Amino acid sequence: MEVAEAVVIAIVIALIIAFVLTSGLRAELKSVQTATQANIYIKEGSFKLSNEQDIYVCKKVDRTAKPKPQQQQVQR
Amino acid sequence: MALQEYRCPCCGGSIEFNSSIGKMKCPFCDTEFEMDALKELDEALNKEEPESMKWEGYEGQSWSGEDMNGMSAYHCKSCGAEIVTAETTAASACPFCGNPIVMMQNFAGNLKPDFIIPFKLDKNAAKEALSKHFQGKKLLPSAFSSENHIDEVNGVYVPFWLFNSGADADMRYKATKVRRWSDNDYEYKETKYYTIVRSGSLSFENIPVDGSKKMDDDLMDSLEPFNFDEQKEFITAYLSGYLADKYDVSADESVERANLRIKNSTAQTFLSTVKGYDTVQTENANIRLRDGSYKYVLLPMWILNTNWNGQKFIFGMNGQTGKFVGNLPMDKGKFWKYFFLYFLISFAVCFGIAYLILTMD
Repeated sequence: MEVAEAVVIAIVIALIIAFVLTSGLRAELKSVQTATQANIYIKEGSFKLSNEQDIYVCKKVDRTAKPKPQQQQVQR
Repeated sequence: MALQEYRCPCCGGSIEFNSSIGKMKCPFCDTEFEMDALKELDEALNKEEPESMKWEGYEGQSWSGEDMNGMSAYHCKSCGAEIVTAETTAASACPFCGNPIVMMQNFAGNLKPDFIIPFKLDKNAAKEALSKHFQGKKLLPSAFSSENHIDEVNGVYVPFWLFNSGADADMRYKATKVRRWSDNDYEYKETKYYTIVRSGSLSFENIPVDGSKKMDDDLMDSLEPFNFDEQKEFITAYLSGYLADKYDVSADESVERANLRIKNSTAQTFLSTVKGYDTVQTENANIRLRDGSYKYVLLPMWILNTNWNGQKFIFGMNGQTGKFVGNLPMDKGKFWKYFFLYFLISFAVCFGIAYLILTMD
C-alpha cells in the first residue's frame, strides 16, 4: 500500500519538476519581448510627492465559531 | 454641483447618513464610518483632475541641398523599405527582408534626424555575439547552429522618436490591514479599510519608440537601453558604410506606445510608496503629461537575417552597447528528451523520499 502511495506522490511531484525545468530551458530561447515600462527613463531625483495621505475609513470584524471537540461517549 | 456618492469599502453598497447615531452607515453590512474620515476623503477626491496625455507639436528640421547631395536612396520593391546611405556606400540587399534593392532617381527626404548615436561595434562583433547567443541553449536544434549561415549582416541606423515628458499624477488606492486572533469559542478577523491618496510628479527622458514599420517593435524594445549621453548632432558622414532607414511611422502614431510606458511606470512608482498594508488595490489613477516634447534620432543596430526550415529568423545587436537579442527555434525532440530525463531523476528521488516517510509512520 505504501509503495502505491509513494509511486503516485512521486509521479505528481516529478511531473511538476520536469515541467518547471523544461519551461526554464524553453524560456532561454526567447529574448525578444515588448517593453511596457519606462522605469529606466525616469530622470534621477525628479520624483516628488506633494500629497501623501493614509485615511482610515472603517473596520469590520468577522467572527467564526470554533469547532467543538466531540464529547466522548461513556460505555456503561 | 454633482453629489458625491460614497461606496462602502467592505461590501460596495452605497452608504448613507444615519441620524440616530450621527454617523454615515452602510445599510447593507451595518459598517459605521467616522465623519472626519469621510470629510478627509471628500477633500482628497475633490482635488483629483481628469487624465490627460497630450503632446506638443514638433516641427523638426528639413534636409538641406548640401545634406542630400552626399546621399543615395534605395527602394525595396518587396517590403517597401526606403533606405538611405552615404553616396560612397554600395547597397544591394534590403536589410529587412533580404531582397534586392534598387537605387532611386531622386532622394525625397522626410525630416532630417536631430541626433544620431554612431556605431561603436563592428560587423565581426555582431557575428561573435551571434555565436555566443547560441551557446548554452539546450533546446536549440543542433542543425540550426551548425548548418546555419547568416544570409545578411547589415549595420542599420533605425529611426526612433525620443519622448521627453513630465508627469503629474493623482493616485487613489483602497488598502486593508488584517489582524487575526481567537479566544476559547471564536476566531476573529478584523479588517481595517484605508483610502490612500498620493499626488506628485516625475519626469521621463529619452523614451525611445521606433519609427520604422519594417522593424519588429518587440525586437527594437528588447535592444534598449542606449546611452544617450553619447548622441551627436546628425551629419551625413556618419552614414558612410551603413544603411539608414527613413521613418514611416510618425511621432503622432508612435506616441501611444510612449504614453503606455509612461503611464505604467508612473503608476508603479507611486504604488511603491504605499507600504505596510496587507492588500492594496488601485481605485483611481489620473496621470497628466506636461512639457511633452520629442525628437527624431537614428540609433545603430546590427541586423542579422537567416532562414531555416522555411522560417525567417531576425537577430539584432545594439550597435552601441553590444546587447544581442533574437528568438531561437526549439527542437521538440530535445524538449521531450529533457522532459523525460528530468522526470525520471525527479521520480527516483521523490519515490525514495516518499517511501521512507510513509514507512516511518
